Amino acid sequence: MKEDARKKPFVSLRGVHKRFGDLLVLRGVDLQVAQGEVVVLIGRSGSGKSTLLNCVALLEQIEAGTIEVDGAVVGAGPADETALAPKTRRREVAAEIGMVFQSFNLFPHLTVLQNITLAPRRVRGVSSRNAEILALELLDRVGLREKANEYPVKLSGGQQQRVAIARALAMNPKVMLFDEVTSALDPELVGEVLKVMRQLAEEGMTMLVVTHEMRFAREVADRVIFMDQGVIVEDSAPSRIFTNPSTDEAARFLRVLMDAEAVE
Amino acid sequence: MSFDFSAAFVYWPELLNGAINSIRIVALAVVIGFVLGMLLAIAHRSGNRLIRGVVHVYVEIFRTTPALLQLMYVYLVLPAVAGINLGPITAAWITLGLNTAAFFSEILKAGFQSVERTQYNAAFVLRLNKVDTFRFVVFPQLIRNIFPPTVALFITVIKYSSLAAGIGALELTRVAQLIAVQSFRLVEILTVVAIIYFVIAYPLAILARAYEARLRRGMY
Repeated sequence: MKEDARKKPFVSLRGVHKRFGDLLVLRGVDLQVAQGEVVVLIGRSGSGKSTLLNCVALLEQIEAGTIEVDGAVVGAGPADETALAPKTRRREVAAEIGMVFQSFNLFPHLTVLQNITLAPRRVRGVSSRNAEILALELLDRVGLREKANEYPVKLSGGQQQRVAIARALAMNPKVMLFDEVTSALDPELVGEVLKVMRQLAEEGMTMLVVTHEMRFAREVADRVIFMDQGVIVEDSAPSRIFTNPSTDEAARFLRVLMDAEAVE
Repeated sequence: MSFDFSAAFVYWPELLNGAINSIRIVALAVVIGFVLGMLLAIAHRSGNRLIRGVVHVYVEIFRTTPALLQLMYVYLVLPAVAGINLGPITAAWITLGLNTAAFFSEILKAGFQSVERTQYNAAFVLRLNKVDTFRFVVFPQLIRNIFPPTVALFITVIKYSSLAAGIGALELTRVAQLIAVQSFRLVEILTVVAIIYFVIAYPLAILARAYEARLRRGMY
């Protein structure tokens, strides 16, 4: 099944360039992700991995190259603008891309339930009742049904992040982007969020995950990508990159991370 | 020394008339201030440097000069320079309206800045359109953030309206001054007028405090 899907990538980046002012953050990134694949992106801060996710989420306009999701070019540099899919199709595909952030970014003035139902109601036109049924199901999945009527401020970081995941899932995405979603959490709360992500991966969700959680990468990822200075330097199976990385940069970076993990 | 508050009752039609004029000045000033202030804030957000500069100069002029002087300027200088003759009450609400707009635009500016960029990102990846993002995500947070300073501004406008006495507008303070002098009941009249101001402004202060208490409990 996975072999079949791999023939046609679900997410495909070609020659993606992104700059912030004078700083070239992405310098020609090529990446294909098949349906159901879990790809973990690692690298030093400033290597461009979060920017890469932001570009796929269409939060950033790229300077060159193309970003294709579900068969539609949704992002393109000025030179490739003609390749862009029609606007309605792009909007459709954009709604298939879900994203979760490091800082949760729940809407503080809305209850947990309202946070989750807002987008399905307003973007998908789902009735309030159906949106609530869906939201409660999702809250069940992340183990927070009893918090449905709380405001985010009453929840722990781990709980907020699980709500954020449920909120993204409520749009029924086909690919989920996770940007260092456990980095802002107290260590004892990391596990509960990773558990939800692990479960999602097992259900076959296509995932791009920026993380420093090496155990998660080792156990859940199909591929681990190491980025350095705006390019992909290594793209391997976790079994390979953790035991026998092909580049020195990756080896050095991983050694530091492993040491840190060993200390913990 | 004995006090006789009956003077305040004897002159109640004049006091009532003064209070109505005060409320008129405040109401019109607040309406102008909020509408114009909103336009100023939107203009400032437009990003155009020239427009931003104009807004900045406008705001700073009103923030750094005395309100009484602003009143005199509109009431006395405008007729002399531009030939525009305004009655004192009209001059008062126009001036206070312009003044309030400057302060309200600053409150709005801070309010917009207080809604974090990440909230827009979260709304964006949920694919809410711009109108829905403003309506359901930004606006409720904006209101929460601007509510306390806006109520404080409202109270300030009520107090500033008494400055119109300085250009002879027959509002509450000016009327009180005239009656007090005429009746030789200075203490009584001024006390009664102070109470009237208090009664008008205090509910607003209570409102602001109740709202802040609500926020502290983590609610909206």
